[in-house]
Amino acid sequence: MQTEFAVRKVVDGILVEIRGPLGKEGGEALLRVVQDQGAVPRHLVLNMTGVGVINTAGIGGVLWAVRLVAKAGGRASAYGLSDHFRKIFHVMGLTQYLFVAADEEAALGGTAR
Amino acid sequence: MKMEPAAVRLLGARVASVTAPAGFGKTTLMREAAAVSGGPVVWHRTGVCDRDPEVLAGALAEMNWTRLPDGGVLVLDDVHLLADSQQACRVLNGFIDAVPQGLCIWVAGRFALRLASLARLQLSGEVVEIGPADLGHLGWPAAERLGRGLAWDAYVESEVCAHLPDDLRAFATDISLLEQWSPEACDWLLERTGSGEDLAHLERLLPGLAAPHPLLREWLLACLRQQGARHGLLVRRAALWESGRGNGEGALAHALVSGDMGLIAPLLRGACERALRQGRLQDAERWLEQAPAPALEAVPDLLLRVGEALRRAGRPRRSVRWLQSATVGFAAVGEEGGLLRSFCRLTLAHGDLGEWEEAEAAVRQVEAELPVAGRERAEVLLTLAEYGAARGAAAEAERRFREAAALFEEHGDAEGVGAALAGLGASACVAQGRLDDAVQELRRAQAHLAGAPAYDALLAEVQVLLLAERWGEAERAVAAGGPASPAQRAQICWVRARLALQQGDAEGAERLCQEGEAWLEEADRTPALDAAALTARGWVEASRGGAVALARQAHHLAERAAVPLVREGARGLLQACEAPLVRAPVRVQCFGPFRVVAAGREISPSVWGRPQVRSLFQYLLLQPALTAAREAMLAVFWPDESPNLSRARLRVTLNRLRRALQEMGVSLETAAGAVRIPPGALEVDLEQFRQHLSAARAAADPEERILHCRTGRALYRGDLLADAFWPGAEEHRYRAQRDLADLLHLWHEGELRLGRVDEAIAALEELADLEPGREEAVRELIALQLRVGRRGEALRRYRKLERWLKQELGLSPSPETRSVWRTAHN
Repeated sequence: MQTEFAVRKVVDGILVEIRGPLGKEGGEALLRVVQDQGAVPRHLVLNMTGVGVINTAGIGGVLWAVRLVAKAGGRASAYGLSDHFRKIFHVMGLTQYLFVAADEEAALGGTAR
Repeated sequence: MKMEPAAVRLLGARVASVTAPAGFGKTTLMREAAAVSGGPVVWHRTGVCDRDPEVLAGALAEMNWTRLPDGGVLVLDDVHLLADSQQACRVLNGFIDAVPQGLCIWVAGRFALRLASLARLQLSGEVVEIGPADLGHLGWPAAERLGRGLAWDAYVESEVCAHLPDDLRAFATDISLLEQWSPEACDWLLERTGSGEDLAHLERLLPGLAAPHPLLREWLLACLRQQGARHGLLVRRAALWESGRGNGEGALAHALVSGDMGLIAPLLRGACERALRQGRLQDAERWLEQAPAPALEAVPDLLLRVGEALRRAGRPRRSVRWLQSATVGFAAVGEEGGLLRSFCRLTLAHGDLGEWEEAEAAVRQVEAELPVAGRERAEVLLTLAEYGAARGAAAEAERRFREAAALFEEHGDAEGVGAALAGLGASACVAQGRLDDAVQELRRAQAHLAGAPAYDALLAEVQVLLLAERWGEAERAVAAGGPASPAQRAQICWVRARLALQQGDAEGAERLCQEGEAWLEEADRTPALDAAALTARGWVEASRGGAVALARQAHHLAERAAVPLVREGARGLLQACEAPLVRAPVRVQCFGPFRVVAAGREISPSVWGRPQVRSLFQYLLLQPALTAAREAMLAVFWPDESPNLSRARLRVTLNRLRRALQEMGVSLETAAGAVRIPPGALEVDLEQFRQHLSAARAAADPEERILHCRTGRALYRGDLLADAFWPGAEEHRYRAQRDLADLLHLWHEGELRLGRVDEAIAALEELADLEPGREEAVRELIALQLRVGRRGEALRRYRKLERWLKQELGLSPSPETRSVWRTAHN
């Protein structure tokens, strides 16, 4: 099963809904989605409600994408993460660049730490 | 008032030449000497205008030196300013020649002038020469006084460098990047030749400062930095020059200034790897701190190594920082294997931080992503094994360590093999109380390791030998030298303190303990190291009669540290301290090599005198209540002798045994035709083993059963009285093996009741190796292995059973066993 992305504009940036497994290919595809926006978005929100299995390679892709946004002076948020993956994100250091929110509203209003 | 030696020399001189760079105190020296001289002093400070010979002649005439009485002093200061004027120098020559013998003349300048008059006087030995070495014993006095700052900048600009020709000043500025100004280095840096001449010229104009003096160099470097592009070009060349000379660290310092990523990344790697090999972790981390982010992203494997080294040094927070940076680098290049490796190390680091929820989640993730084969699988298994050992799942950890070692061996990774074996020994085996196995694995680990990791394994081996009270081997092992960080040096001191206590040297032990505590101050502190320090101190205090509070503190800290080796050490101390203060019984080891330990020292075999005395003692140890009838002993040891002779031999042997036991403080009692050793006089491991076996049988609670089994298993260090061959010894050995088999069976039952299948399998595997023909146990083992998906192992075990039954008994496996095998085959 492939990873699918649905992108919609939000204030200041984009909201990317991710569905399916998030492995190496999914992570790379996410990065391309961000890069294909023309300019690096000021705000990147990731809806991970529909994500199934995530492995470290997939997390690596997410890490690279949110760092890209952070380097360009933007902010990144995510919601829909299970408790397990919220801890995994913390272990891998993603939470330095990514605000993990409880829901979409909080994610849209949130800022990266 | 005490005068400077140079001033004393000056006072005694009729003609003196004082030559030193600016700020060395020439004028101060001459003023001091003049003040003491007692005679009239006439002073002329040369100026630039004196280059005109007429002006100079007029100035010298105004000194009215012809009217000075004998003993008067003429001082000519800053004569170096006349260097460019030959005519002025001729006037000066004439002046010096004309001064009568009764007057003194002192000539001072920043460098020596070529004056014929002075040369003639030097030939006749009439000139006292005072140079920078006579004045600069305090360094560069001006630099000392002015230090850094605006005053210093102004001084260097106006007094030191102002008189340098422009091209020479530019040369000095360019080469200020170099720490050492050699002709070769300067030529290379500036891509030219002839630097030797310029350096010599510089030395003439700035004697003693063109080495270069650090403050001068710093000032010149500041000037170079203002030149922007030129500075960038030269700093890059300086980095390449230092790199070519093998000065990686100097090259890296220049490269970091240059900002050239192409230079920084390889130099950063080289310098950090060298620092890691030499145990200079702080240096490696310092360079990483200075490196820009793009350079760090180019060396994720280096960040992983530094992060892991910091974790092992007990600095998990710093470790997390670099490990997370490593994940960024690996993510950048899409290297999955690297991402998984750094994630594994982050798992352990978060555990070290006490963030167990996150660590548990990470372990589940790692297990889900466990590669099926290859070096990556080995790396991940190593992480899981270390984590498991820290969390108390020692049997499972052992299995993973062994598999990791095998995989690393397949891939020719000696360091990986060594790390796996070291973990197996120091963590898994120690946690299970199998100290002899731990020693064996740690020795195997050392054969695969080098440098600091090898020495860590040696230290672990020594600590296990201490736990096992194998004092002689511990002493020999600790004598082997090796690289030693402050933490390692502290641990060596504590080991030596413990050995000193064994030899009764309490003072030596105290001294070594203090030395270890001093090294501790320089080490990176971790709970494990602190616990080891308290344990060492506790043993020293215990030898003085009391250290219970200290022992409890050490034990508490050791439990937090989650390092099995440190935990066992602290536990041993606590047990020793909390035991009643009675005379320690003599300890006898019957399993494995036969040993007797009295008052903490192993008894030498020579104490028995004759082998038969030792054999008789061993026979007594195997009897219930350590009591044996004389007739029984006669039948065993002298069956074919005549009654009188055999009784005489028994009497002599018992007397020898009595004397040997007396030396250990143990009595031998004889009464009613029997001989016995009083209860409580000996601690015999065989007796303890039997007690634990009985307790395991009786225990209803599985945890309690497992505890007794584990303790009993730890006592069984090898075959019972392996080197005893007197009649009946073999039978006792066989019975002990059966007891061990029963113990292992009980153990596996306990583990199964707790749902710990891997641990149950480990117990059954040992049982099956011990008694390959115990078919029901093997069948149970195969069934469990199949249950957890270890099909290959199950098949191999079946084949082994099949072969054994056929070779030993001429039989095939039973229908029940064949049925289990058919299931596996399908």
